[in-house]
Amino acid sequence: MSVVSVSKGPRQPNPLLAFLVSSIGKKWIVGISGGLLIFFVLAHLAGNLTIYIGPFGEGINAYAQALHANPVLLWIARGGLLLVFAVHIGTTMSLIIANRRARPQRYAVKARVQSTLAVRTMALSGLVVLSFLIFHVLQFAGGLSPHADLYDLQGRHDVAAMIILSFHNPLVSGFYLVSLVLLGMHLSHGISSVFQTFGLSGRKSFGLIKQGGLLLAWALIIGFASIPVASVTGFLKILPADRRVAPELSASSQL
Amino acid sequence: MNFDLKIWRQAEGKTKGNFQTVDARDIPSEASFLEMLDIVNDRMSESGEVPVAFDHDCREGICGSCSLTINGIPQGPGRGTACQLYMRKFRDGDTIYIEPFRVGAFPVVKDLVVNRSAFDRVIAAGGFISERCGNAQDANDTPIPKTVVDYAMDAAACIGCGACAAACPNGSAMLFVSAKIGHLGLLPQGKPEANRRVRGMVAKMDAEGFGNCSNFYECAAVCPAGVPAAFIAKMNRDYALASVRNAVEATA
Repeated sequence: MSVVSVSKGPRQPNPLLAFLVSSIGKKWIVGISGGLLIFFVLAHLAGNLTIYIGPFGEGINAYAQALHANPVLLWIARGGLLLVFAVHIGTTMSLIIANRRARPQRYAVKARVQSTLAVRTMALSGLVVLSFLIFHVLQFAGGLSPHADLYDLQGRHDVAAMIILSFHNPLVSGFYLVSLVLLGMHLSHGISSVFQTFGLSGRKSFGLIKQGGLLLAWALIIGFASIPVASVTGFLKILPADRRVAPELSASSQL
Repeated sequence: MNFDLKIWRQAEGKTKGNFQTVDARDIPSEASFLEMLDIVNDRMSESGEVPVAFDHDCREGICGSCSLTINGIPQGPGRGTACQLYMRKFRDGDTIYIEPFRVGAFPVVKDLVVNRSAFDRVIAAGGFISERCGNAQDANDTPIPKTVVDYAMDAAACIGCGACAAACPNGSAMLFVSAKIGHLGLLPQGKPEANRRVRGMVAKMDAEGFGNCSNFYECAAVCPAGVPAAFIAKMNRDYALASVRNAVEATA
């Protein structure tokens, strides 16, 4: 009995791994993580806008309390968000390094035919927004704000007062608005790019998706920017100090 | 017309290049850009200088041999190839920078000539289509909707000149590769191998060292054939779907 050996040919790379390390696979990773971050921005805006509910922004206090009701879920969500950010930034960096290598010599004359400022500054706007995010998280979620220990009539943490008083500082509201403009630029290119990367933009919808992404990005930014503007102009009011419950009392009444 | 030319001179790929200033006098306004270079080269030869090397062939805007970057724009300002650019488009006394296509995967051979064989290797990686031999079949044997034919033709218009990769700040060849994948993948003749083709060509494109698209769309703006960037979206989708199919088949 003879054994016939059949050559299997060269070993095929793992198909999933081959996709993930390919140029287009990495674009998909950036697109998926970017798309998730767009949903986060949308949800964050919806949460922020609850500050307009109630005469002293009680809506956002209730929203914050509900958000903190289940610490386990909250930390899972925060961990997931951090992971998405890390994947988005890490993959983008690997793409940027490859792109630099693919174009070792620049032109003596720099000309651009149609690309917008937003697309040419994606990395820069992303990094400024990232630095803002670190400050933003430390300030509001990390409790570094000097207005973090106020409580409302129901004994809830007075998030509305913390936000409004913080925005009365021109440095805080100024940095916030500048970062928002950069986030707007980042999203104005990012939203339509997600569609392009997923292959959802066709020849007819191409222009529509580009304009739609631009419109949605700036609509989001106007929504976010309305809060510092409303705080500084006095449209958003805080609970007067004489009606406020003492922090120790409210803390004990919460127990 | 008179022009102040700054022409990239590089004796060979490995040597360091630099700009040579050339005073181009009495150039007829009806001369094409390449004819202007011919006149300059004739004068250089007469005075014993080494003429400027540049790629050209049909000079009708259809072969894709031109590879000049004029004032930072591959194939020059306006739609069309460099050979279809006429000196009347410039103003008398203009300074014109002439550089080769700058893409890592297109090494400079000499002066303004670059080696674009990376594109040929990407095409080869796509493989053949399955077609029967023998007599040509009846023209109406394979019905294809007019809209599909037109769309495939938009991609097939690509002349493979490489201006897309040269215009891309990331040195990405995705408009070229997506045009080739698009035009074959849309037609019934190229459908059977569509999955294999998109995976093969994308893998080769990456291996050749081209960059990644980040949606600047400079490529489509300079493309002399007007290939739309929507084909890149189609390639992104086709590649992902082909990879999924390949993964499923590998486990089955």
